[in-house]
Amino acid sequence: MSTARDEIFARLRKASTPLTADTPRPEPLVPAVALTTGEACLAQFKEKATALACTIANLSNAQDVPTEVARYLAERSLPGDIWCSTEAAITSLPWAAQTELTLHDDIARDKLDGGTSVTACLAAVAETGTLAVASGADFATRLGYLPDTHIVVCRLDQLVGGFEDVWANIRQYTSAGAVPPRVFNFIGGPSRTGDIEATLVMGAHGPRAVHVILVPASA
Amino acid sequence: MHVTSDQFHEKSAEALKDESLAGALFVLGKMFPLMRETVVAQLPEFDALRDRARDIRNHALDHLPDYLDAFEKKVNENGGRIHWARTGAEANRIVAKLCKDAGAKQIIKSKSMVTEELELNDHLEAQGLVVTETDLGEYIIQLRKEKPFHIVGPALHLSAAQVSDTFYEAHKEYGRTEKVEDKVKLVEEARIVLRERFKNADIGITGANFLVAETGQIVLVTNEGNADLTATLPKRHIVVTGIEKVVPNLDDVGVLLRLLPRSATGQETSNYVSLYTGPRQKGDGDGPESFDIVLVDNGRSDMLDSPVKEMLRCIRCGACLNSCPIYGAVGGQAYGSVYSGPMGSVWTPALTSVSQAGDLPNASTFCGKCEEVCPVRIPLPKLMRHWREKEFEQHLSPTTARWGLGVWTWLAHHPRAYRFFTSLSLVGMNLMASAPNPKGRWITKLPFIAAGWTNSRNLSAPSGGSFLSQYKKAQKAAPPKDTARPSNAEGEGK
Repeated sequence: MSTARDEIFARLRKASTPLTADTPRPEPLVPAVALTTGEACLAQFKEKATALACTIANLSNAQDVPTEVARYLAERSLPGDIWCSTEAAITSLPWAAQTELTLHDDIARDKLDGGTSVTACLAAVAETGTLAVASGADFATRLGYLPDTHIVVCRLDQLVGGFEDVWANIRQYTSAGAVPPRVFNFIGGPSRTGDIEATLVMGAHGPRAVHVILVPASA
Repeated sequence: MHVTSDQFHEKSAEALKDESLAGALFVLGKMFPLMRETVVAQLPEFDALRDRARDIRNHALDHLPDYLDAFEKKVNENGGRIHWARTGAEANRIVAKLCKDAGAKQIIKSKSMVTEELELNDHLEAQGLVVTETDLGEYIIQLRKEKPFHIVGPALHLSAAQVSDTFYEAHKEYGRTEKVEDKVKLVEEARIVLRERFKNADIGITGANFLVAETGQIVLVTNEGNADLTATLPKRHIVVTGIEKVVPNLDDVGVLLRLLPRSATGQETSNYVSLYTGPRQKGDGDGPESFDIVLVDNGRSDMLDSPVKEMLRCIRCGACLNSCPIYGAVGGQAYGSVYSGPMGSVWTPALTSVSQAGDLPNASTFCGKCEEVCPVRIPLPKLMRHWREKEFEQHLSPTTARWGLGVWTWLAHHPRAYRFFTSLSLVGMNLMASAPNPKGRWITKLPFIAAGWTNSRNLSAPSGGSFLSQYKKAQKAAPPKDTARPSNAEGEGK
């Protein structure tokens, strides 16, 4: 134990007058906006994600994801070079059939910079319209930050109400005595800043565009 | 923390004459409160969440040693390391040593008010390290060697033209040959320069919005995504933050995350919200090899044992700055401290001294708007009043103020003299009144110390006598009936 630690703790323990006479652990409070389910949940996610400047595509078959990726890139005159996460939900898709696309697996900084990434996600959060992703062997965090375009594939059964649903995922690790993934990111559309004259400008540091592809739960 | 808050009078007088600043402050003071009100109106539970947030922060502060201890245990389990710093100087030494041990040269940072408080950049640069701020606003003020204007928008006092001049000078080495004032182009220019810094940095330094005792995670909130690049690309990640930021668990983080962006920028959510657990794990595609957290006291434990302890609930949203008429008139630079506005007027004297920063709590009209918008319900006017009392007790307030208060105390104790003096002033003020006013007449010039009022605005001339004389007159005209009045008033209301 360091001296600094002991000294700080001694000072904190000296501060005896509590802020409130009795401070029990406050009970959790979850607002209604974070508790939607079913169709309402989907509608709210789409509304909030669109407000955050995401674009959204609905597919009736997950096998069509490569076609949708090719269509999206062609529509914006972007090259067909893509960097995919190695999540099963992505690697299992029929990429080879899509000849306009070229898949790369070298995620070196200079390679990813300015490119397009395609990843799955942990959850789509209807409360905020954000996409939750977790780092791991099959998901490098930089895939969500270095490319200019981030395409996220989300199964409808990954749609959740609010933050608490992602906390439940984190607690699955901790309650099993395991360390949770290095990082959980909630991604809310393209990167932006309002730092010059309080004017909103898109594409500050991270992606300039985030495209969400919703696929059926059965996929 | 070096402050120049003792120059508040001179600096605020200068700021009041600065027309471009007035424009920026007008936008800030109108736009942010309006955006906040709009999103708040869409969340029916907002006030209930504020009560909950106040209770969460109180509970955490009342059990701070326990939650810090639990947090430390979890961080160790997750493969991170905690360093404790009693003072700013100690924190700076710890960070410098971590950089030196890693053989680092290039450091990138995401916005952290605690590192501004510690003046960490100056310390690291003195050791020969190259430090680059990556939040756009922080990057701009770093290039201009200024202190943050606002805890959320550090460069909001600058025009695009001023930013353009700054970039033109700083980016010459990257082949910049022309000045652009287009904001999209300015952001793009910074993006290109900073992207290379991100790629080449050895260490990333971030702050933390919250520390989660339950899981040992740190929470980071940005709109630019720069904190995540800072925490992901370099080999090492160092977190520098205050000991008061800990909350018990993830459910508490949920409550606070619903209040912070709404209160700060009127957003339902910030664009990037991240929870960092530790260093890169086996098999991970990226992430730093080490995860060090420097927990800074620097006066906070003393604050916990003081009458301004409620200030430690603060989550740094800046809503009190945006709603403050004083901040809205003079801006952040006048405060001479990294913390400005109402929250800064309470923090700064606590972290320094009343003799250095006693003027800041005086810069308040006590309108109460700051307390009204605070997401954790900090009674800011009450806390500012505490520092005013301290200033008076320590005989630090100016002679004119003490003399004036002395005169007033004497008058208040001598009703006849008081009445004589007020009726004399009424006569005097009516003699001075000249300029016509739709409602009556204006006084355009008051004598002696009262001239301070009429230097920048007119005073409406008093009419109809003092309150006391009017009250007496009304009593004579219609003597009150003991019981009839209250029921009458009630009847009229319905």
